[in-house]
Amino acid sequence: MVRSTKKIRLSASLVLLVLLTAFLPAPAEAARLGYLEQMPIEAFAKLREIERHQLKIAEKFFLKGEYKAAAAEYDKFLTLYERSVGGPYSLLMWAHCQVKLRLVNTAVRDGFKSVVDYWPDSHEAVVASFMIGKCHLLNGEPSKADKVFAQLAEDFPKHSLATLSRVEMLGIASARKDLERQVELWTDIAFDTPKTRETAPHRSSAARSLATHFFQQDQFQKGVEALGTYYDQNRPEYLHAVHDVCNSVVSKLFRSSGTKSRAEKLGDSLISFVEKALPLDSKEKKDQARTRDLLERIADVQKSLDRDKQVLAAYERLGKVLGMDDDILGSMAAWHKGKKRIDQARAIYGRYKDKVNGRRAIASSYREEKNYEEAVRQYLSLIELDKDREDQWQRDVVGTWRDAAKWDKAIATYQTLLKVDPDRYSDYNWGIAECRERQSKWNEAILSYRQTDNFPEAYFRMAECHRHLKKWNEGLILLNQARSHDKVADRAQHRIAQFYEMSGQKEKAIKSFQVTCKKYPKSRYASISHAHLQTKYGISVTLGGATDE
Amino acid sequence: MPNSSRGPVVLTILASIGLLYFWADWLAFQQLSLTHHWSGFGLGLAGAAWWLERARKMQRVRRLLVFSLSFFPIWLFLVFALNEMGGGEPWGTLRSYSATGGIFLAFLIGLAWLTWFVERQSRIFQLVRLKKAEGASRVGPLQAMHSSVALPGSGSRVWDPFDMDAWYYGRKRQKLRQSVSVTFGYLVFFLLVVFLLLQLSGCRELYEMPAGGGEQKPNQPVVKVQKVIKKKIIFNPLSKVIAKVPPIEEIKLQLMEITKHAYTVGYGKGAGAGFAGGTNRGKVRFIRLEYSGGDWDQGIDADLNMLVQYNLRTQHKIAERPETRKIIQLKNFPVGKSPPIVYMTGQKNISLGKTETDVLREYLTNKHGMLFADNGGSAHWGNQFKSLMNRVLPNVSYIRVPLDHPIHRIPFPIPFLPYVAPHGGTDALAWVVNGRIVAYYHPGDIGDAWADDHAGVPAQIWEACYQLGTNVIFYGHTEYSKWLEARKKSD
Repeated sequence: MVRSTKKIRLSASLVLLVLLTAFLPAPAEAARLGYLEQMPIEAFAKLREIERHQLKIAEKFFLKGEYKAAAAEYDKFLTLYERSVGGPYSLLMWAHCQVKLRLVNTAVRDGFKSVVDYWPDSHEAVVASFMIGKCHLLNGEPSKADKVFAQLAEDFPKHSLATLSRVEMLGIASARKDLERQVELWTDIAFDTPKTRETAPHRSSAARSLATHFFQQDQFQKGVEALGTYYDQNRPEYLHAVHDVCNSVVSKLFRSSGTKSRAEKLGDSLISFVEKALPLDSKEKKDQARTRDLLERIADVQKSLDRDKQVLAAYERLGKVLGMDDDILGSMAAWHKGKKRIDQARAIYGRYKDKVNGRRAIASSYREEKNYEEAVRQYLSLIELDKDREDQWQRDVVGTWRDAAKWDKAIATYQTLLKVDPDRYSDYNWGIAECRERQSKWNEAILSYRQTDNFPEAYFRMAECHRHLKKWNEGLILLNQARSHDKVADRAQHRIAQFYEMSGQKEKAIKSFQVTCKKYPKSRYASISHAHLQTKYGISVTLGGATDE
Repeated sequence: MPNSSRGPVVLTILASIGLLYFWADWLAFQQLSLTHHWSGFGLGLAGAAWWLERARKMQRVRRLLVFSLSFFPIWLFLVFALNEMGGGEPWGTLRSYSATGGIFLAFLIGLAWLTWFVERQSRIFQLVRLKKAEGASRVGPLQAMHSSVALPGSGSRVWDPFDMDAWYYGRKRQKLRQSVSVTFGYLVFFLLVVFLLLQLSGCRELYEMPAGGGEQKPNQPVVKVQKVIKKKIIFNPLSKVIAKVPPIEEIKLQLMEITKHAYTVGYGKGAGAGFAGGTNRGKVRFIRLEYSGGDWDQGIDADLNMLVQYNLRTQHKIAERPETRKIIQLKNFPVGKSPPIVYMTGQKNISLGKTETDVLREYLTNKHGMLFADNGGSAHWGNQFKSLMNRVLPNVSYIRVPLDHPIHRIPFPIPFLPYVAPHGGTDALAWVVNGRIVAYYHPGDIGDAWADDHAGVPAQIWEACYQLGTNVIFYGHTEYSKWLEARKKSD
């Protein structure tokens, strides 16, 4: 009995834990150190607790972006624990802080170079060498950086930073438009880089770039081989990659009249490659999914080559094998729509098993055709089919009336929505206010804005309505209310100045523009106010002035 | 020529040669000082005035000749004086108009005298021939205007172009043909002369840095600590006289800040502040670029302030006033004597043609120049400038200039980037070629902080703006000096 009670308690606790894990909001992703900023675990294990504590303090500042404080803490570590195994790491991090503070030369001279000189065999020395190259790039000296990266790749060929170095060299070669060097580096990264988790994104990217290059050179097989360096040929991702990369080249080549024939040839090679992968039998659910995927991919290639009949044939074939469903019909209808055969598309939408979706697609097609009355008729007919989602159909209706610039009808629909879906009253009142503004009914617009909870934006909109009514003081009161919100204070102050200007109060306008410059010198409104004071009023004393700190 | 006039004429010819030398020196050689130029052109003006006064009593033709020749010293003086008034408005425009207008007037004067001379010569030939041809009937004025009234005898061929009966004028409408030919010939000759003058001397300009030397390192005030211990009398400790020993706090520390520069700002081993690649008559000049499409002259008055502040902070010799040049005029500076740095600002559009873009590229790369761009009032101008640089240096991407780059450290270490308003962000950008910044872009109207009222920004900001301006100008000159030295060595 006791045992069973214990079991029940344990099960209950487990269930509670699972429920808590499932329903509690996930914590915001904590900032983490990047690969270049991490300490090897072996070195960390050798640190004393007090040393770890000091590094933790420094790391906290670093992750919070307080680099001056972080640098001071790393520096303190070096002073306190001069002979610690954490020494090189601490100096490396100090140098990272300098880079973040845009003291690139200081970082190299007093940080990275010292790491290399004092601890040449450490992991940090390799990172520091890499960072020296990065700093050369930040200083606008790609030739120096290229040399450093090449040396690093040569000295530590198996290190993951050798791959990163090659990636950086790729960037330099790309800036120089040196395709030969790029191909060389892509090949190095794709074929010769150790297959580790760290190098995976770079190998994938290099394989794809190299494949793109070969596909563009009409070397289909070589392109496929390049992708094979990263993707497992027995997994579907391999075929997806071949299709994605090759199809994008096909559509690019097809767009230019001079390369159309090459696109056709490449496209045919790709189709036959995909055809070979089609399962012989599609009875199993897994095989059915694969067949659908591959036949859709074949249709995509035909689309890239603008082969109308073949595209439809591919979808018909898919329907024959798996049975025609709404997805296939949707793809066919979309193709017809793209070809401006809207009636055929609608006929296909009419064949949908899901009548609601079919009707909605028909309504959208009328809306796209700017046949708004018919679109609304179709949307309203959906209410009969699916009363539970009336708010959604009414929102589609209001969107259609707004597209048609029929403001009264839009407002009437918003009023209906307020009854159907009162929870979103603020959004609907905002919509009504916008429609009133379009009708130049400023007072009514103000009333509707007042019924929203979208502040401080509503203050600005109401102020604009008052501007149209030339009620400057009312507008200014609202803008001053908006100014109390820190996030928009600069914008509000600038608009206040403009209101004074428009109302002919030149002195106050000038003063307000100057206040914008003085109080918010780092804001873009300070820039606009400064230029305006100079060009419009010829006033050079605009106040303001700041630093990038 | 009467004997009384012979002396002044000879003197005037000699003075004219001297005046031509001054002109050539002012435009091209730059050997003489500004005072010499003022004196030379002033004397030319005085000579012209003397002749004009004397011409009132002369015959009509001589008087007109004096008037015509006096035009040239007056014109030269006017262009020179307007040029020395500086590049600001309205002097720059007036200088340009007076130079162009003068060329046009010179053309007209030459044409008038040529017409007079040809007409006179032609008439003499006709009269001589008429006298010889006895029994010639009376010739009406219309006939004389239209064609020759005294044809040469058959078999004789006239070559003289001033004679309207020259064979190449034909036998009909000789007068018209002669006029057209002579005018056309004169036009070609005049254009050729103007072209040669512009190419060989007129448009050629030189930029020379001040000679000297110095160190390229941050200028930090040195604080020297001197311990001054109060003098005290040491008594015998066993003495019965009690003496008060001053406590340690009373030892005064006398801190003396060395206010003068501990080193000379410059580059190279020469004496005094300056640059190894400079010359004795060289000066640091502030050249603002003129370009079409926008307001290149925005806040132009501040240029002089910056130039003066540069002098105060570096002790380098500077020009008396800032200047302006069109981008196309950068072509006129030869390699090795071109401005190490030019400044441009504005807030509207920058619209440059292909030629101007090419000239700018040549200036930045082959001539080792540098562009100091200041966003004068809009994000749009910043984008325009980036787009311009993309055309000028298509293979170079810009970088955010690190705060510890020499341009931000030497001679004044600036721990932040100061700006008046963040028109184009808050980062200084640079385009780097072979490790050298060829274009430095300031995002926030640094030029406004150089103005007399400093745009009302806090003193800390405008002071930093002057320091940054000094650093950028100094960087441009230092890099240029290094390049000149390297060229000298490789030669």
